[in-house]
Amino acid sequence: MRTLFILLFALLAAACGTTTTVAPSAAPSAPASKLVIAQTIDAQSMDPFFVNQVAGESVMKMLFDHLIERDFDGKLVAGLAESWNIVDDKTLEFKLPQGVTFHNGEPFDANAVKFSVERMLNPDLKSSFRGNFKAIKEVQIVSAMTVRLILAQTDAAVLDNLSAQLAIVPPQYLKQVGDAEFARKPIGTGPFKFVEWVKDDHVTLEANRNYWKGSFKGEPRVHTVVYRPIPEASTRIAELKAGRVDIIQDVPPDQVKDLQAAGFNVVAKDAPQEAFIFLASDTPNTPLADKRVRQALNYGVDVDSIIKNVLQGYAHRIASPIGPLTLGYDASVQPYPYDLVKAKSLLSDAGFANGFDVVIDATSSDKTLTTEAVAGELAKLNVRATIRQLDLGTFNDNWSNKRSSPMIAARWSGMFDPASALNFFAKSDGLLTRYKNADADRLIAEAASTLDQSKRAALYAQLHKTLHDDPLGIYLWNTQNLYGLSKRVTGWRAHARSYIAATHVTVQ
Amino acid sequence: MNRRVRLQPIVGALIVVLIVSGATFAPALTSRDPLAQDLGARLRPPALLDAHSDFVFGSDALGRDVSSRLLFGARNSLFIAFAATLIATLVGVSSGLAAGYIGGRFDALLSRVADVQQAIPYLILVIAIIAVLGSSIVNLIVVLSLTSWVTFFRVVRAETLTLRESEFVMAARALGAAPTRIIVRHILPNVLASVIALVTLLATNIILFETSLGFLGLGVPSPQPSWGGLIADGRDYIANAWWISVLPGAALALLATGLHLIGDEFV
Amino acid sequence: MLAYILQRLAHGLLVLCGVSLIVFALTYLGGDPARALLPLDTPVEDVEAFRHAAGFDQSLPLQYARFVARVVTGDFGTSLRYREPVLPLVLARLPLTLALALSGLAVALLVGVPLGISSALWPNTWLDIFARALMLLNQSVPNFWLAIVLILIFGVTLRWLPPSGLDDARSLLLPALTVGALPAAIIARVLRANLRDVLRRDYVRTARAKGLRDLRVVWRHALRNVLLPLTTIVALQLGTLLGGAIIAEAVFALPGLGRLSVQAISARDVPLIQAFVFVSATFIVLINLALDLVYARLDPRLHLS
Repeated sequence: MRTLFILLFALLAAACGTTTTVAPSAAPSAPASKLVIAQTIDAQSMDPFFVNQVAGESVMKMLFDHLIERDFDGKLVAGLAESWNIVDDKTLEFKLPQGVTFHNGEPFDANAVKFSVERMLNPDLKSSFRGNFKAIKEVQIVSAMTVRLILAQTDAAVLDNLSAQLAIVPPQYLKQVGDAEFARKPIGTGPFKFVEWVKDDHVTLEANRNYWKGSFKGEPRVHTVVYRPIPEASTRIAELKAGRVDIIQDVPPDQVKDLQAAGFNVVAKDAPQEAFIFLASDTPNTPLADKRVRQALNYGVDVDSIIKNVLQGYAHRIASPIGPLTLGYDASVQPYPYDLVKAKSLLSDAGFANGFDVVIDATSSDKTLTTEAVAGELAKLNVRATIRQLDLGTFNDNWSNKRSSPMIAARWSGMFDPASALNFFAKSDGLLTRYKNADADRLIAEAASTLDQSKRAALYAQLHKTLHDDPLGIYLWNTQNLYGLSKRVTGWRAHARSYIAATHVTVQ
Repeated sequence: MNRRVRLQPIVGALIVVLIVSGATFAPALTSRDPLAQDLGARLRPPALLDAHSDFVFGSDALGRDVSSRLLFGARNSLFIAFAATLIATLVGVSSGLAAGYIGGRFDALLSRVADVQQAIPYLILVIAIIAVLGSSIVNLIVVLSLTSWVTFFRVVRAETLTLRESEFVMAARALGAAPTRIIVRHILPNVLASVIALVTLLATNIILFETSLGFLGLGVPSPQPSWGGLIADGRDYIANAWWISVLPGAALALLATGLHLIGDEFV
Repeated sequence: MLAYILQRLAHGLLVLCGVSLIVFALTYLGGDPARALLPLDTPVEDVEAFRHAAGFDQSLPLQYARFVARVVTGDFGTSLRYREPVLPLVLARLPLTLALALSGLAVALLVGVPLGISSALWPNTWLDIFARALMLLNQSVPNFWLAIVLILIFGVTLRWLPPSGLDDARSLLLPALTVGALPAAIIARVLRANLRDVLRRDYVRTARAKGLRDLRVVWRHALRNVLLPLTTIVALQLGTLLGGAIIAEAVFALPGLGRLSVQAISARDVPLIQAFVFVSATFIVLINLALDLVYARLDPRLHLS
């Protein structure tokens, strides 16, 4: 709850594409091949119902599968359900494939789905995702390979949440060993099997040679994969250069050219992660309560220059929280142009010709370089910003209790579908919202009350315009993920959800 | 000792005065705003190494002038180091004198408090406090002095214990001098040398400590410059823009040298 | 001697009692602990129920008493992040951090002691200047910066040592240098000052005048007299060593106590922080106790007090 990342990865239902990406099958490489991946942090748990950060998701996605999945480009595709069907606004039906088994040989069937959903909903388990599935009233087993989810009320977010947060777990095994042992020796249906986890050191997985055919993830082609948490960027790069690690996460943009010059590949991948500076407009008689001031700040920050120089071009400008990869994106709504004159005149119209002092809250786990760049831009408007770094817990606590500073630097990830994110920060009664716009409230509520994706897309497009015109933040960019790869690695694909998959890859 | 050695504290004092006046007169010494960024002129090397660069000490990752950040950063870092050292000294010395002179239960109590303080892993305590309260110059001063007073307490207490039994203190007591008078007149002057030596050691340590907090994202709030912050921010650029972290590091080394030369005189 | 040991033990226990107060206070570090322990969207009545069940509605002295009762049995509660009992989690990380701190101490002594001795014996020679320059450098280079430079040189350019992680004993070499650098400087400085003081004394001068070789004089007369301040300074460096270990574990990606506790703070995993603080405090108290006994052997006068 208090981790921002739960919020960050809260996903919603989206386009009902049923295309299946079939991985081209190729001969597995030598049986002893080993792939080492360096991420920024360690997984929090080996129980998928308690993993809400990207680093852990990498491991979970290799151990477990979901009923529906996001493919590498973020499109919803078949997962453990070979097809699904929206029977009505409150009933979803899933057809399951024959012959899929868990790593321990336990068969996968409708019962496993029912068990997994009920485990998620069990309040005693205290899964951090439980709130996202509250709309589910019951799970009906229609036949051994057909299952229905009955919703208490329509919830557009359910499909998307199923793809991200509800891993299918083995009922017999779990009943036999219990939750604690399951977290020590997790068993799923995924392309890799669990070997060992030494906390903060490494997670080792081993190829599942019986992985079911047809998953978008593709087959494992290395024998072993090791995920290592290495928090310092320079240490990750050193390990890559020393040849001890094959793939690294989060290459700083300024290091890309050096790495390429040293003979490494750098992969840039678009992901729906929106960076913005939230502007709290809920305190009367403060500068940010004035719409003109919020517009002025958007005009006054030269975002393109920050993207070009500080991020070396590895980002796309956004015009509202609804970015280019998000449902409802409308390219005709242009981002605010950089216009210092206009910004200054709006500020002086609002009575702040001499600017004002303000504090930007940020987390201590993120580097503040880009936030400092924004502060440096604001200084040109005489808006004197100081950055206050807090630990993630305090940061989230303050935010949700409306105690945060007037500006909040945040990066919102996994926004394929904007529904749950908007509920959090744009709807006037949202947990984190410090903004009020009647039109926005109406559009958000309408979009949540239907499962019709084209209707929802149209509503979000309107919302896109509303949130652009009456900004709730300084809209910055959609960050690309940067990965460094050794030349030995071939066939690796970056995933739009930012996690690092170990399928498709071969290592020489 | 020969006369040449006497030169050392003078050189040391000169170095410290030089740095302090650099910090004090920073606005006069540089025309550049330490916060002004020029995104088109990022990571420029120092002018000496590159004819195209017009930054004396180069520019940082946002095109800010390193030399002016260094000068203005000295203000924050020296102020924090000075204030925290002063508080730690006052608290540590007075409690050390009192505990050593009064002795008995009072001494036992203070000594146990010092023991408790020393038993707690202070970096973790500091991180926890700053992480929750948020970082500010005042918060930094408080936590840094909180972690440093014990050293003064221990040294001063130990010396006071010895001095208490010395002949001149005995004599003063026999003559009926008030305890405060004895402490101020006879004991304090005799522990001063060790205190000054400790102060010179501690001041550098505090800046170093501030650097560690900067590394953990809990240092002087950005974009305000500080030596610790500059070094911490520059760590990603050691290979391709060394000047961001090396020059502040050199400034810190210079300050340490100055303080060391002074402190040596009192050891 | 036995009475002395018992007295020190009693002191140690007293200190641990003080530590337990601070550790207990950490429960309230993030404001209302019930709110901090429950998901954000928990209804108010559930929060109240939890507060009652966990005893957060009782008076503070009573809560403290219950806390102490739990701690005595080794029960520090369950980690919020890992959902496992915290004490085993902390104890599992202890060996690595201990190894790191001890190897850092070894570096500090191996570098600091010769540096301090040579600098004091031959003042104002090139050796002294070199030694003091090295001390100053150690004292003004931040440990994370040193760590990164060591990785770049020995891990990447020369490839002599692994840049990070824990493969074998060699993996500890660079972290130990990182941890030991600052204590080495401090030990060298204190040793130098004390030794110079001793060397000025008459009996040493006499010994030197009698033509005894310098090193023998140092060994026979001087060094014994500086062992006491040296032990004191080593005791004072325990915190520095632990702090250095926290930074080194972050840069070298080592799975030690430091990383565990820094992450625990970020995740507000209060039970974990409490167990960590208590366990390390116990260790520091034990080490101090051991040093007290070393003291007692070195300085017979202490028996009287």
